[in-house]
Amino acid sequence: MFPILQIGSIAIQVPGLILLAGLWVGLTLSERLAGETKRQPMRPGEVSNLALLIRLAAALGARLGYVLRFPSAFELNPWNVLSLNPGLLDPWMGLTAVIVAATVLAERKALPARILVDVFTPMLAVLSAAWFLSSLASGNGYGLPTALPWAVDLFGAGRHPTQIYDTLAAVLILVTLWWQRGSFRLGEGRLFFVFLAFTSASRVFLEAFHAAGAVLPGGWRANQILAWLVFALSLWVLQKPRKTQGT
Amino acid sequence: MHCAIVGLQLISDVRGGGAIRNGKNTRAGLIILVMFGLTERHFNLLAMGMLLLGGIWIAASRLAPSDLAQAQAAPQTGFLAPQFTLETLSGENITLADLRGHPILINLWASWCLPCRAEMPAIQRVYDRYRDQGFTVLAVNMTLQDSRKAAEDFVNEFGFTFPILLDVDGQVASLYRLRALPSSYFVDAYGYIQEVVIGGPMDEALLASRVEQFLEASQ
Repeated sequence: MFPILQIGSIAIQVPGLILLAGLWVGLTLSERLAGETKRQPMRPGEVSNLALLIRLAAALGARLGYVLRFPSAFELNPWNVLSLNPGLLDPWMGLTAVIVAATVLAERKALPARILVDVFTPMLAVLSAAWFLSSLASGNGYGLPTALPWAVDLFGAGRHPTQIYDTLAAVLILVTLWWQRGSFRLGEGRLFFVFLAFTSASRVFLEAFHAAGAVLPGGWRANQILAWLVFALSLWVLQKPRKTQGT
Repeated sequence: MHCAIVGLQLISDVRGGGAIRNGKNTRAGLIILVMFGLTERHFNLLAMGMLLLGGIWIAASRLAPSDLAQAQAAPQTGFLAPQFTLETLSGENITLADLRGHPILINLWASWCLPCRAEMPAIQRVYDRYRDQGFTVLAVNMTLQDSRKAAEDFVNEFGFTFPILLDVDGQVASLYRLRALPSSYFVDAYGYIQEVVIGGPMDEALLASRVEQFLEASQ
Protein backbone atom coordinates (compact mmCIF):
# COMPACT_ATOMS: atom_id res chain seq x y z
CA MET A 1 0.00 0.00 0.00
CA PHE A 2 1.30 3.42 -0.99
CA PRO A 3 -1.68 5.77 -1.05
CA ILE A 4 0.17 9.05 -0.58
CA LEU A 5 3.43 10.38 -1.98
CA GLN A 6 4.58 13.13 0.35
CA ILE A 7 6.84 15.69 -1.31
CA GLY A 8 7.56 18.35 1.29
CA SER A 9 4.19 19.77 2.31
CA ILE A 10 2.45 18.41 -0.78
CA ALA A 11 0.60 15.08 -0.49
CA ILE A 12 0.05 13.47 -3.89
CA GLN A 13 -2.63 10.79 -4.21
CA VAL A 14 -0.72 7.90 -5.80
CA PRO A 15 -3.83 6.01 -7.06
CA GLY A 16 -4.99 9.11 -8.95
CA LEU A 17 -1.50 9.64 -10.34
CA ILE A 18 -1.41 6.05 -11.65
CA LEU A 19 -4.82 6.48 -13.33
CA LEU A 20 -3.69 9.74 -14.99
CA ALA A 21 -0.50 8.07 -16.22
CA GLY A 22 -2.63 5.16 -17.51
CA LEU A 23 -4.88 7.55 -19.39
CA TRP A 24 -1.88 9.20 -21.04
CA VAL A 25 -0.22 5.88 -22.02
CA GLY A 26 -3.57 4.48 -23.21
CA LEU A 27 -4.33 7.49 -25.37
CA THR A 28 -0.84 7.29 -26.88
CA LEU A 29 -1.37 3.63 -27.80
CA SER A 30 -4.84 4.34 -29.23
CA GLU A 31 -3.44 7.15 -31.39
CA ARG A 32 -0.65 4.88 -32.55
CA LEU A 33 -3.13 2.14 -33.44
CA ALA A 34 -5.25 4.61 -35.41
CA GLY A 35 -2.14 5.82 -37.26
CA GLU A 36 -0.87 2.32 -38.03
CA THR A 37 -3.86 1.09 -39.98
CA LYS A 38 -3.78 1.34 -43.74
CA ARG A 39 -7.35 2.54 -44.14
CA GLN A 40 -6.97 5.06 -41.31
CA PRO A 41 -10.60 5.15 -40.25
CA MET A 42 -9.61 7.86 -37.77
CA ARG A 43 -6.70 10.28 -37.85
CA PRO A 44 -4.49 10.12 -34.72
CA GLY A 45 -5.36 13.74 -33.82
CA GLU A 46 -9.04 12.87 -34.01
CA VAL A 47 -8.54 10.19 -31.34
CA SER A 48 -7.34 12.78 -28.81
CA ASN A 49 -10.16 15.19 -29.62
CA LEU A 50 -12.79 12.49 -29.31
CA ALA A 51 -11.23 11.18 -26.10
CA LEU A 52 -11.33 14.69 -24.64
CA LEU A 53 -15.00 15.16 -25.54
CA ILE A 54 -15.93 11.73 -24.20
CA ARG A 55 -14.03 12.40 -20.95
CA LEU A 56 -15.84 15.70 -20.60
CA ALA A 57 -19.20 13.99 -21.16
CA ALA A 58 -18.26 11.29 -18.64
CA ALA A 59 -17.37 13.87 -15.97
CA LEU A 60 -20.52 15.93 -16.59
CA GLY A 61 -22.78 12.87 -16.67
CA ALA A 62 -21.23 11.37 -13.55
CA ARG A 63 -21.54 14.64 -11.62
CA LEU A 64 -25.11 15.23 -12.81
CA GLY A 65 -25.99 11.69 -11.76
CA TYR A 66 -24.55 12.29 -8.29
CA VAL A 67 -26.39 15.60 -7.87
CA LEU A 68 -29.67 13.95 -8.89
CA ARG A 69 -29.03 11.10 -6.44
CA PHE A 70 -28.18 13.32 -3.46
CA PRO A 71 -29.78 16.71 -4.19
CA SER A 72 -30.04 17.68 -0.53
CA ALA A 73 -26.28 17.12 -0.01
CA PHE A 74 -25.61 20.09 -2.29
CA GLU A 75 -27.94 22.43 -0.40
CA LEU A 76 -25.24 23.35 2.14
CA ASN A 77 -22.94 24.61 -0.60
CA PRO A 78 -24.33 24.60 -4.16
CA TRP A 79 -20.86 25.49 -5.52
CA ASN A 80 -19.83 21.92 -4.69
CA VAL A 81 -21.50 20.99 -7.99
CA LEU A 82 -18.27 22.30 -9.55
CA SER A 83 -15.98 20.51 -7.07
CA LEU A 84 -12.98 18.62 -8.45
CA ASN A 85 -13.53 15.87 -5.86
CA PRO A 86 -13.82 12.47 -7.62
CA GLY A 87 -15.90 11.19 -4.71
CA LEU A 88 -18.85 13.21 -6.02
CA LEU A 89 -19.29 11.16 -9.20
CA ASP A 90 -21.86 8.51 -10.08
CA PRO A 91 -20.03 5.82 -12.11
CA TRP A 92 -23.16 4.36 -13.77
CA MET A 93 -24.36 7.75 -14.98
CA GLY A 94 -20.80 8.43 -16.15
CA LEU A 95 -20.83 5.21 -18.16
CA THR A 96 -24.22 6.07 -19.64
CA ALA A 97 -22.90 9.52 -20.62
CA VAL A 98 -19.87 7.90 -22.30
CA ILE A 99 -22.11 5.62 -24.37
CA VAL A 100 -24.43 8.47 -25.35
CA ALA A 101 -21.53 10.85 -26.16
CA ALA A 102 -19.68 8.19 -28.17
CA THR A 103 -22.85 7.37 -30.14
CA VAL A 104 -23.61 11.02 -30.90
CA LEU A 105 -20.01 11.86 -31.84
CA ALA A 106 -19.69 8.75 -34.01
CA GLU A 107 -22.88 9.70 -35.83
CA ARG A 108 -21.78 13.30 -36.35
CA LYS A 109 -18.43 12.20 -37.73
CA ALA A 110 -20.01 9.37 -39.74
CA LEU A 111 -17.86 6.85 -37.87
CA PRO A 112 -19.37 3.42 -37.16
CA ALA A 113 -19.38 2.70 -33.41
CA ARG A 114 -17.32 -0.44 -34.10
CA ILE A 115 -14.41 1.71 -35.32
CA LEU A 116 -14.66 3.90 -32.25
CA VAL A 117 -14.58 0.99 -29.79
CA ASP A 118 -11.71 -0.73 -31.62
CA VAL A 119 -9.55 2.42 -31.65
CA PHE A 120 -10.15 3.05 -27.95
CA THR A 121 -9.54 -0.58 -26.90
CA PRO A 122 -5.81 -0.03 -26.12
CA MET A 123 -6.80 2.89 -23.92
CA LEU A 124 -9.36 0.76 -22.08
CA ALA A 125 -6.83 -2.07 -21.67
CA VAL A 126 -4.20 0.28 -20.20
CA LEU A 127 -6.78 1.92 -17.94
CA SER A 128 -7.86 -1.50 -16.72
CA ALA A 129 -4.26 -2.34 -15.72
CA ALA A 130 -3.84 1.14 -14.18
CA TRP A 131 -7.06 0.68 -12.18
CA PHE A 132 -5.80 -2.51 -10.54
CA LEU A 133 -2.36 -0.99 -9.94
CA SER A 134 -4.06 1.96 -8.27
CA SER A 135 -5.93 -0.52 -6.04
CA LEU A 136 -2.55 -1.91 -5.01
CA ALA A 137 -1.52 1.62 -4.01
CA SER A 138 -4.75 2.40 -2.14
CA GLY A 139 -5.16 -1.01 -0.47
CA ASN A 140 -8.64 -1.52 -1.95
CA GLY A 141 -9.66 -4.81 -3.55
CA TYR A 142 -7.78 -6.90 -0.98
CA GLY A 143 -7.91 -10.70 -0.99
CA LEU A 144 -9.30 -13.47 1.17
CA PRO A 145 -7.10 -14.93 3.90
CA THR A 146 -4.89 -17.78 2.68
CA ALA A 147 -2.01 -19.95 3.88
CA LEU A 148 -0.34 -20.02 0.46
CA PRO A 149 3.39 -19.22 0.49
CA TRP A 150 2.92 -16.04 -1.58
CA ALA A 151 0.29 -14.59 0.79
CA VAL A 152 0.85 -10.96 1.77
CA ASP A 153 0.41 -9.83 5.37
CA LEU A 154 -2.40 -7.30 5.19
CA PHE A 155 -4.97 -6.13 7.74
CA GLY A 156 -4.04 -8.73 10.31
CA ALA A 157 -3.94 -11.82 8.08
CA GLY A 158 -1.98 -13.47 5.29
CA ARG A 159 -4.05 -12.70 2.16
CA HIS A 160 -4.18 -13.43 -1.54
CA PRO A 161 -2.33 -10.57 -3.28
CA THR A 162 -5.40 -9.99 -5.44
CA GLN A 163 -4.30 -6.56 -6.64
CA ILE A 164 -1.16 -8.21 -8.07
CA TYR A 165 -3.17 -11.05 -9.67
CA ASP A 166 -5.53 -8.48 -11.21
CA THR A 167 -2.74 -6.22 -12.47
CA LEU A 168 -0.82 -9.14 -13.99
CA ALA A 169 -3.94 -10.42 -15.76
CA ALA A 170 -4.74 -6.95 -17.14
CA VAL A 171 -1.14 -6.43 -18.31
CA LEU A 172 -1.16 -9.87 -19.95
CA ILE A 173 -4.37 -9.01 -21.82
CA LEU A 174 -2.95 -5.64 -22.87
CA VAL A 175 0.35 -7.11 -24.09
CA THR A 176 -1.39 -9.97 -25.93
CA LEU A 177 -3.83 -7.68 -27.72
CA TRP A 178 -1.18 -5.09 -28.57
CA TRP A 179 1.16 -7.79 -29.86
CA GLN A 180 -1.60 -9.32 -31.97
CA ARG A 181 -3.18 -6.04 -33.10
CA GLY A 182 -2.08 -6.65 -36.70
CA SER A 183 -4.35 -9.69 -36.81
CA PHE A 184 -7.47 -7.58 -36.46
CA ARG A 185 -9.07 -5.50 -39.16
CA LEU A 186 -9.68 -2.26 -37.34
CA GLY A 187 -13.30 -1.21 -37.39
CA GLU A 188 -14.97 -4.62 -37.11
CA GLY A 189 -15.32 -4.29 -33.35
CA ARG A 190 -13.61 -7.64 -32.80
CA LEU A 191 -10.59 -6.17 -31.03
CA PHE A 192 -12.91 -4.56 -28.47
CA PHE A 193 -15.00 -7.68 -27.92
CA VAL A 194 -11.91 -9.90 -27.61
CA PHE A 195 -10.66 -7.46 -24.95
CA LEU A 196 -14.07 -7.61 -23.27
CA ALA A 197 -14.11 -11.43 -23.41
CA PHE A 198 -10.60 -11.78 -21.92
CA THR A 199 -11.23 -9.17 -19.25
CA SER A 200 -14.60 -10.57 -18.18
CA ALA A 201 -13.23 -14.14 -18.16
CA SER A 202 -10.35 -13.02 -15.95
CA ARG A 203 -12.83 -11.29 -13.62
CA VAL A 204 -14.95 -14.44 -13.32
CA PHE A 205 -11.82 -16.33 -12.26
CA LEU A 206 -10.02 -13.74 -10.11
CA GLU A 207 -12.99 -12.27 -8.23
CA ALA A 208 -13.11 -15.60 -6.37
CA PHE A 209 -10.00 -14.57 -4.42
CA HIS A 210 -11.35 -11.15 -3.42
CA ALA A 211 -12.59 -10.44 0.09
CA ALA A 212 -14.33 -7.17 -0.78
CA GLY A 213 -17.16 -6.53 -3.23
CA ALA A 214 -20.93 -6.77 -3.35
CA VAL A 215 -22.30 -10.12 -2.21
CA LEU A 216 -25.80 -11.37 -3.03
CA PRO A 217 -27.87 -13.63 -0.77
CA GLY A 218 -26.36 -17.12 -0.67
CA GLY A 219 -22.80 -15.78 -0.93
CA TRP A 220 -22.94 -15.21 -4.70
CA ARG A 221 -20.54 -12.50 -5.80
CA ALA A 222 -22.26 -9.80 -7.86
CA ASN A 223 -19.05 -8.94 -9.76
CA GLN A 224 -18.56 -12.53 -10.89
CA ILE A 225 -22.14 -12.83 -12.16
CA LEU A 226 -21.89 -9.51 -14.00
CA ALA A 227 -18.55 -10.57 -15.52
CA TRP A 228 -20.04 -13.93 -16.59
CA LEU A 229 -22.90 -12.12 -18.38
CA VAL A 230 -20.43 -9.78 -20.14
CA PHE A 231 -18.32 -12.81 -21.11
CA ALA A 232 -21.39 -14.53 -22.58
CA LEU A 233 -22.34 -11.35 -24.49
CA SER A 234 -18.80 -10.97 -25.86
CA LEU A 235 -18.67 -14.56 -27.07
CA TRP A 236 -22.09 -14.16 -28.66
CA VAL A 237 -20.95 -11.03 -30.53
CA LEU A 238 -17.65 -12.63 -31.55
CA GLN A 239 -19.48 -15.61 -32.95
CA LYS A 240 -22.04 -13.46 -34.78
CA PRO A 241 -20.04 -12.10 -37.76
CA ARG A 242 -18.81 -15.60 -38.46
CA LYS A 243 -22.41 -16.57 -39.21
CA THR A 244 -23.06 -13.68 -41.56
CA GLN A 245 -19.76 -14.13 -43.37
CA GLY A 246 -20.26 -17.87 -43.54
CA THR A 247 -16.67 -18.70 -42.58
CA MET B 1 8.11 -26.42 -18.70
CA HIS B 2 5.13 -28.05 -20.31
CA CYS B 3 3.34 -24.69 -20.19
CA ALA B 4 6.30 -23.00 -21.91
CA ILE B 5 6.25 -25.58 -24.70
CA VAL B 6 2.50 -25.20 -25.14
CA GLY B 7 3.00 -21.41 -25.15
CA LEU B 8 5.66 -21.62 -27.85
CA GLN B 9 3.40 -23.87 -29.88
CA LEU B 10 0.63 -21.32 -29.54
CA ILE B 11 2.94 -18.51 -30.71
CA SER B 12 4.04 -20.60 -33.64
CA ASP B 13 0.40 -21.34 -34.44
CA VAL B 14 -0.42 -17.63 -34.36
CA ARG B 15 2.42 -16.80 -36.70
CA GLY B 16 1.53 -19.66 -39.02
CA GLY B 17 -2.13 -18.74 -38.82
CA GLY B 18 -3.45 -20.52 -41.89
CA ALA B 19 -4.17 -23.94 -40.48
CA ILE B 20 -6.24 -22.45 -37.74
CA ARG B 21 -8.14 -20.20 -40.09
CA ASN B 22 -9.12 -23.28 -42.05
CA GLY B 23 -10.45 -24.84 -38.89
CA LYS B 24 -8.14 -27.85 -38.95
CA ASN B 25 -6.08 -27.13 -35.88
CA THR B 26 -7.97 -27.93 -32.71
CA ARG B 27 -4.93 -27.78 -30.39
CA ALA B 28 -4.59 -24.04 -30.08
CA GLY B 29 -5.77 -22.19 -27.01
CA LEU B 30 -8.53 -19.73 -26.40
CA ILE B 31 -6.51 -16.73 -27.60
CA ILE B 32 -6.14 -18.23 -31.02
CA LEU B 33 -9.66 -19.54 -31.12
CA VAL B 34 -11.07 -16.13 -30.41
CA MET B 35 -8.64 -14.12 -32.49
CA PHE B 36 -8.43 -16.34 -35.51
CA GLY B 37 -11.41 -18.56 -35.01
CA LEU B 38 -12.00 -22.25 -35.47
CA THR B 39 -14.99 -23.43 -37.35
CA GLU B 40 -18.28 -22.08 -36.10
CA ARG B 41 -19.15 -25.39 -34.46
CA HIS B 42 -15.84 -25.62 -32.58
CA PHE B 43 -16.11 -22.01 -31.46
CA ASN B 44 -19.64 -22.51 -30.18
CA LEU B 45 -18.67 -25.70 -28.36
CA LEU B 46 -15.72 -23.97 -26.72
CA ALA B 47 -17.84 -20.95 -25.80
CA MET B 48 -20.46 -23.16 -24.17
CA GLY B 49 -17.75 -25.08 -22.33
CA MET B 50 -16.12 -21.89 -21.06
CA LEU B 51 -19.45 -20.49 -19.91
CA LEU B 52 -20.31 -23.73 -18.15
CA LEU B 53 -16.91 -23.82 -16.43
CA GLY B 54 -17.35 -20.19 -15.46
CA GLY B 55 -20.75 -20.96 -13.94
CA ILE B 56 -19.33 -23.90 -11.96
CA TRP B 57 -16.43 -21.72 -10.75
CA ILE B 58 -18.84 -18.98 -9.61
CA ALA B 59 -20.93 -21.52 -7.69
CA ALA B 60 -17.84 -23.14 -6.16
CA SER B 61 -16.36 -19.82 -5.07
CA ARG B 62 -19.45 -18.50 -3.28
CA LEU B 63 -18.57 -16.86 0.00
CA ALA B 64 -19.33 -18.74 3.20
CA PRO B 65 -20.97 -16.72 6.02
CA SER B 66 -17.65 -16.91 7.93
CA ASP B 67 -15.87 -15.20 5.00
CA LEU B 68 -18.44 -12.41 4.90
CA ALA B 69 -17.83 -11.10 8.39
CA GLN B 70 -14.47 -9.32 8.64
CA ALA B 71 -14.42 -9.71 12.41
CA GLN B 72 -10.96 -8.24 12.86
CA ALA B 73 -10.29 -4.54 13.15
CA ALA B 74 -8.22 -2.67 10.56
CA PRO B 75 -8.21 0.90 9.22
CA GLN B 76 -9.65 -0.19 5.87
CA THR B 77 -13.05 -0.26 4.18
CA GLY B 78 -15.00 -3.37 5.16
CA PHE B 79 -13.27 -3.91 8.52
CA LEU B 80 -14.30 -3.04 12.07
CA ALA B 81 -12.94 0.36 13.06
CA PRO B 82 -10.04 -0.10 15.52
CA GLN B 83 -11.18 0.70 19.06
CA PHE B 84 -9.77 3.50 21.18
CA THR B 85 -10.50 5.58 24.25
CA LEU B 86 -9.22 9.16 24.32
CA GLU B 87 -9.61 12.26 26.45
CA THR B 88 -11.37 15.24 24.90
CA LEU B 89 -10.39 18.90 25.12
CA SER B 90 -13.08 19.33 27.77
CA GLY B 91 -11.58 16.55 29.89
CA GLU B 92 -14.05 13.67 29.45
CA ASN B 93 -13.16 10.24 28.04
CA ILE B 94 -14.78 8.97 24.85
CA THR B 95 -14.67 5.31 23.80
CA LEU B 96 -15.45 4.50 20.17
CA ALA B 97 -17.33 1.30 21.10
CA ASP B 98 -19.79 3.32 23.21
CA LEU B 99 -21.00 5.10 20.08
CA ARG B 100 -22.09 1.87 18.34
CA GLY B 101 -25.49 2.49 16.73
CA HIS B 102 -24.49 5.90 15.35
CA PRO B 103 -22.83 6.66 12.01
CA ILE B 104 -19.53 8.33 12.89
CA LEU B 105 -16.93 10.37 11.05
CA ILE B 106 -13.47 9.89 12.58
CA ASN B 107 -11.32 12.76 11.36
CA LEU B 108 -7.58 12.76 12.15
CA TRP B 109 -6.19 16.30 12.03
CA ALA B 110 -3.58 18.75 13.25
CA SER B 111 -3.79 22.53 13.62
CA TRP B 112 -0.78 23.13 11.34
CA CYS B 113 -2.30 21.06 8.50
CA LEU B 114 -3.86 23.45 5.96
CA PRO B 115 -6.33 20.99 4.34
CA CYS B 116 -7.44 19.98 7.86
CA ARG B 117 -8.17 23.61 8.71
CA ALA B 118 -9.98 24.05 5.40
CA GLU B 119 -12.36 21.10 5.87
CA MET B 120 -13.20 21.53 9.55
CA PRO B 121 -15.85 24.26 9.01
CA ALA B 122 -17.53 22.00 6.42
CA ILE B 123 -17.52 19.13 8.93
CA GLN B 124 -19.15 21.45 11.49
CA ARG B 125 -21.92 22.44 9.05
CA VAL B 126 -22.64 18.78 8.22
CA TYR B 127 -22.55 17.87 11.93
CA ASP B 128 -25.05 20.66 12.69
CA ARG B 129 -27.35 19.39 10.00
CA TYR B 130 -27.36 15.67 10.81
CA ARG B 131 -26.55 15.31 14.53
CA ASP B 132 -30.24 15.19 15.43
CA GLN B 133 -30.50 12.09 13.26
CA GLY B 134 -27.74 10.34 15.21
CA PHE B 135 -24.65 11.36 13.22
CA THR B 136 -21.57 12.20 15.24
CA VAL B 137 -18.01 13.38 14.59
CA LEU B 138 -14.86 12.40 16.47
CA ALA B 139 -12.16 14.90 15.51
CA VAL B 140 -8.95 13.32 16.76
CA ASN B 141 -6.14 15.83 17.09
CA MET B 142 -2.69 14.32 16.48
CA THR B 143 -1.42 15.96 19.63
CA LEU B 144 1.86 14.03 19.46
CA GLN B 145 2.67 15.98 16.28
CA ASP B 146 0.77 19.12 17.36
CA SER B 147 0.15 20.80 20.71
CA ARG B 148 -2.88 20.96 22.97
CA LYS B 149 -2.66 24.76 23.04
CA ALA B 150 -2.60 25.09 19.23
CA ALA B 151 -5.53 22.67 18.92
CA GLU B 152 -7.50 24.57 21.55
CA ASP B 153 -6.85 27.94 19.86
CA PHE B 154 -8.00 26.60 16.50
CA VAL B 155 -11.18 25.06 17.96
CA ASN B 156 -12.03 28.26 19.86
CA GLU B 157 -11.39 30.40 16.79
CA PHE B 158 -14.06 28.55 14.78
CA GLY B 159 -16.28 27.43 17.65
CA PHE B 160 -16.48 23.76 16.77
CA THR B 161 -19.08 21.91 18.84
CA PHE B 162 -18.26 18.27 18.01
CA PRO B 163 -15.94 16.32 20.37
CA ILE B 164 -12.24 17.10 19.93
CA LEU B 165 -10.15 14.13 21.09
CA LEU B 166 -6.45 14.34 21.94
CA ASP B 167 -4.14 11.58 20.68
CA VAL B 168 -1.35 12.48 23.08
CA ASP B 169 0.69 9.27 22.80
CA GLY B 170 0.06 8.50 19.12
CA GLN B 171 -2.23 5.53 19.93
CA VAL B 172 -4.80 6.34 17.22
CA ALA B 173 -2.13 7.38 14.69
CA SER B 174 -0.61 3.93 15.14
CA LEU B 175 -3.93 1.99 15.16
CA TYR B 176 -5.12 3.79 12.01
CA ARG B 177 -1.67 3.60 10.35
CA LEU B 178 -1.70 7.33 9.75
CA ARG B 179 0.04 8.23 6.48
CA ALA B 180 -1.20 11.73 5.74
CA LEU B 181 -3.33 14.45 7.30
CA PRO B 182 -6.22 14.83 7.19
CA SER B 183 -7.42 11.22 7.15
CA SER B 184 -11.13 10.50 7.52
CA TYR B 185 -12.97 7.26 8.25
CA PHE B 186 -16.72 6.91 7.76
CA VAL B 187 -17.90 4.29 10.25
CA ASP B 188 -21.42 2.89 10.01
CA ALA B 189 -23.81 2.20 12.87
CA TYR B 190 -22.48 -1.37 13.17
CA GLY B 191 -18.89 -0.22 13.69
CA TYR B 192 -17.60 -1.06 10.20
CA ILE B 193 -15.52 1.35 8.16
CA GLN B 194 -17.46 2.15 4.98
CA GLU B 195 -15.05 4.60 3.38
CA VAL B 196 -11.58 6.00 3.94
CA VAL B 197 -10.64 9.43 2.60
CA ILE B 198 -6.95 10.21 2.80
CA GLY B 199 -6.08 13.84 2.15
CA GLY B 200 -8.44 16.75 1.82
CA PRO B 201 -10.16 19.08 2.08
CA MET B 202 -13.50 17.27 1.78
CA ASP B 203 -16.50 19.21 0.44
CA GLU B 204 -19.77 19.61 2.31
CA ALA B 205 -21.54 17.69 -0.46
CA LEU B 206 -19.20 14.69 -0.10
CA LEU B 207 -19.63 14.65 3.66
CA ALA B 208 -23.40 15.16 3.53
CA SER B 209 -24.01 12.53 0.85
CA ARG B 210 -21.97 9.90 2.71
CA VAL B 211 -23.73 10.69 5.99
CA GLU B 212 -27.13 10.43 4.26
CA GLN B 213 -26.13 7.02 2.86
CA PHE B 214 -25.05 5.69 6.26
CA LEU B 215 -28.07 7.11 8.05
CA GLU B 216 -30.32 5.43 5.49
CA ALA B 217 -28.46 2.12 5.83
CA SER B 218 -28.66 2.18 9.62
CA GLN B 219 -32.46 2.58 9.68
